[in-house]
Amino acid sequence: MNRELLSKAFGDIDESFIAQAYRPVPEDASGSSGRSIHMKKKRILTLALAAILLLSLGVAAYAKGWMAPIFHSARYAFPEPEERKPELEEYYAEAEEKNAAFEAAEQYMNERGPAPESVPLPELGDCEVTVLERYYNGNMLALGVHLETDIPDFAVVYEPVEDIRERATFLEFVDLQDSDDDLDALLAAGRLPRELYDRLLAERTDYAKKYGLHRQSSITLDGMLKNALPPEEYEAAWRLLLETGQLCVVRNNLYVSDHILMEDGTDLGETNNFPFSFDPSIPPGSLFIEAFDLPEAAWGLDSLNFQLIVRHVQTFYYMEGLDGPVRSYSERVGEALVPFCVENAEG
Amino acid sequence: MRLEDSKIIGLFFERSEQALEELNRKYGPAIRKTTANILNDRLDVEECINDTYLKVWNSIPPQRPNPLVSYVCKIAHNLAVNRYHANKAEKRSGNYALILDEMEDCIPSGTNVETEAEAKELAAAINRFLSTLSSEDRFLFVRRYWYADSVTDLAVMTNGSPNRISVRLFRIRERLRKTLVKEGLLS
Repeated sequence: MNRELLSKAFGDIDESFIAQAYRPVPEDASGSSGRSIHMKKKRILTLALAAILLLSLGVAAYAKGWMAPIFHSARYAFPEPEERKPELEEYYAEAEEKNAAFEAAEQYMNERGPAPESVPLPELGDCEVTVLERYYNGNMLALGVHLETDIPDFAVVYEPVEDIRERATFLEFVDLQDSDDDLDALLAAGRLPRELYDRLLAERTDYAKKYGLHRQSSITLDGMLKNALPPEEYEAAWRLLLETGQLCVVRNNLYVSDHILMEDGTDLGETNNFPFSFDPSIPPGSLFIEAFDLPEAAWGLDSLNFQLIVRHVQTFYYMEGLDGPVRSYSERVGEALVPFCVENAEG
Repeated sequence: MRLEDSKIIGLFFERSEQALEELNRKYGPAIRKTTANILNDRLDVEECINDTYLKVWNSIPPQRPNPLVSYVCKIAHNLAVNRYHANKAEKRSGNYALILDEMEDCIPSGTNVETEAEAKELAAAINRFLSTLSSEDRFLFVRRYWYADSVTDLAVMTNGSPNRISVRLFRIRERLRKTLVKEGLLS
């Protein structure tokens, strides 16, 4: 095995592990300078002014009865010709090439009509994955996928949580370069401006104010629960905390992996995928996936058999007492390989 | 005090240049350290950081990463590793070369992992292995082999001695090697 592949294998560590191991770096050790920020900004803004942005064209597309609103929305929008930057021609060319493929995909879907295919996944809590739109031309694969689940984003854990308590070791929701997220201590140490301290305390929920939550992590978790849970469940969570002195909450993350496999397990290579949470015309949970650089094994087939990987990751947040911080840990609790097939649109 | 991730992402969605300021303020030092741990050359590091911000700017929206920190660090890490391997031999020495040596300790060159897809299979096995580790051991492993921290840095982070960290990493590598043999990835 060469060293490049070796570092790729080690580099492909789950993002949840990377996030858990993240530790803020003191600025004085970074060598960061205002000048370098300016340089970065200048370069990025130059591009940004003319950037090809994915726009939510889907609103109009859906209203007009397009058969493939996800493919339609995935197209790149361009600035007006007079606003284009000459130095970005290569960038425009690549996006135009992709747009041509997306347009062909959309046209293909419009001619054939919608043919959604759903697969229930009882092993992942009765979720269902649906391929709404699919297109393969021998060189690239584009998919519109929808994931439907009844699993709540957040749920209070009422069973005994001793095991979770043992495993939850990472301080959660803490932005500061401190392991202590007590706002009073941070204020006293001069790490938190008075104005911000006052605002953080003032913006707490009524419960957090009443029971004096004063840690960044516990205030954040309480705010998340207030937004995510139905009012009666939120109140029940507080009752649990007050009666037992501990609160454990699980956050469910169910998602389609950015790796797509062929029947024999060959990875289809780098994919781009993005959710359509910004487009109100497309159901929440829909995802566009493109694989533009297929491996040779996937070139020019009459039909491409592929497998989507659906994963379920749970993050447990544990809080002990009204004075305690929130600690967490994550684990993958389920994974399913879901086979689908797409015909070659080029015949 | 740094802005919350969701607010920074909101700024990206508004296409506000303030997004870059806030991202830099909050995660700039981590991005710099991640790239500097891998690359020896200061100019390489600067370019890699620029490329990271550019890639983040171009991908949010439509992406709305959560958590933001692993998203930006992963971009920086991948860019730095790609640049490391693209560099000529004289620029490829240093800290990361030592780390690669350690990786080869548990995955010797005689394995059958020869393609990117097989490397991904190996990555999946490493992820499974990581999920079996204690949080402390996982922290050490990810910091050493993903963030490419030096043993001395790890000792400071964990209030331990460099020698103890080295021994612990050695034991984790041994366990990984045995796991990979058990899974049939190594002979």
